[in-house]
Amino acid sequence: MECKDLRELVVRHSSGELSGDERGLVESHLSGCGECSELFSHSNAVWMLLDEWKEIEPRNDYVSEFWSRVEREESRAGFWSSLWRPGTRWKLAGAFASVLIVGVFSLFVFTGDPGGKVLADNDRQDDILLLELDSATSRDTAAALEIYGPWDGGIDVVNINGNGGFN
Amino acid sequence: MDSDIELMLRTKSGDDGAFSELMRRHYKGVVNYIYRFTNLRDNSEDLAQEVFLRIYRSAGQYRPEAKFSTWLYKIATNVSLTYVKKKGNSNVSLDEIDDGGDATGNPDLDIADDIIYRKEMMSVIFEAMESLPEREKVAIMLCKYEGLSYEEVAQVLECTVGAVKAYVHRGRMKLIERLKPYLSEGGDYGV
Repeated sequence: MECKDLRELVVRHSSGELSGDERGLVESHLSGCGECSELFSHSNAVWMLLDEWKEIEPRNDYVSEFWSRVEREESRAGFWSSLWRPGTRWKLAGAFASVLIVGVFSLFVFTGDPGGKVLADNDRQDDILLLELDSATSRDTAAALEIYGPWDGGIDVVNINGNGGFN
Repeated sequence: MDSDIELMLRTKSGDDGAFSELMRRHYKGVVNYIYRFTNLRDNSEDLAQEVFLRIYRSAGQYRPEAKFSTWLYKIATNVSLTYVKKKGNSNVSLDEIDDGGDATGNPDLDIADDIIYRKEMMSVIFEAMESLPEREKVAIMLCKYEGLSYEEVAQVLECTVGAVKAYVHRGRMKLIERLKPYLSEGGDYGV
């Protein structure tokens, strides 16, 4: 392989990223190529030079400072800003559902069942209709029922004559 | 021990203690990432708080689809870039650059020289990093300083692993060219 094909592997090898076959390939090439050996050397040195950019230590009270900032922002923005707090929406939804359930329950308990009043009215109207029907039935069928004679509380004997009539 | 995702899910359900634990795990890394991005110590602490505030505010919509650290560094990258762009000119004077050490004004000349040397090196590295295209800079910083894998960097940058490898390689070649003058002939470096 030519140098330009191996350049990326050489740079990655300088920071110890290669393993197995790739490392063997690069090391074999480096042993016979001065240009790539120089690149390897510079790349390795620059990678270590970046370590000169040391870490800093954050201040010790960063956690408490964070929560203070959360509280400051909430108090500055008022009640509605507190809604973005994790879990707050679920708590609010639960509270709202509870209020709704209690409200509906109270409505039934303290105002009675409006459906029952409607049913009672219907029942009364049905009673009136039945009485009127009973009355009308008695009037219309009174004459026809006279053929049976006076009602004596039961049917004892029914004789049928030869003409198909009753005796 | 809870994983980051478990802690984040506990945060989502309203457990602030879980979020404090997440901060303890990642705060230093985020501060240093932003510090290297901006090279300003005080601002890096404020911006790191902003990063965690954004995460805390969006915890309600959190879905554990990716590693927490990639989400964290994606937000940290956005916050840093926004800050640098808002600032306009990111050139920082040597006095502004924090040396990362305890500059107590020790009269010992060697220590003073060391502080000056370190400040100058940090300035050189910062300027070399600043000269890189945005994605090359982010890819190198996340790989080199935050220890993210190519796969994780790909998630932060929303690109392929192959693209990340290309960013890192191109960036490193440019850094070699820019920082070569600060290396001594033996591959060691000096100012």
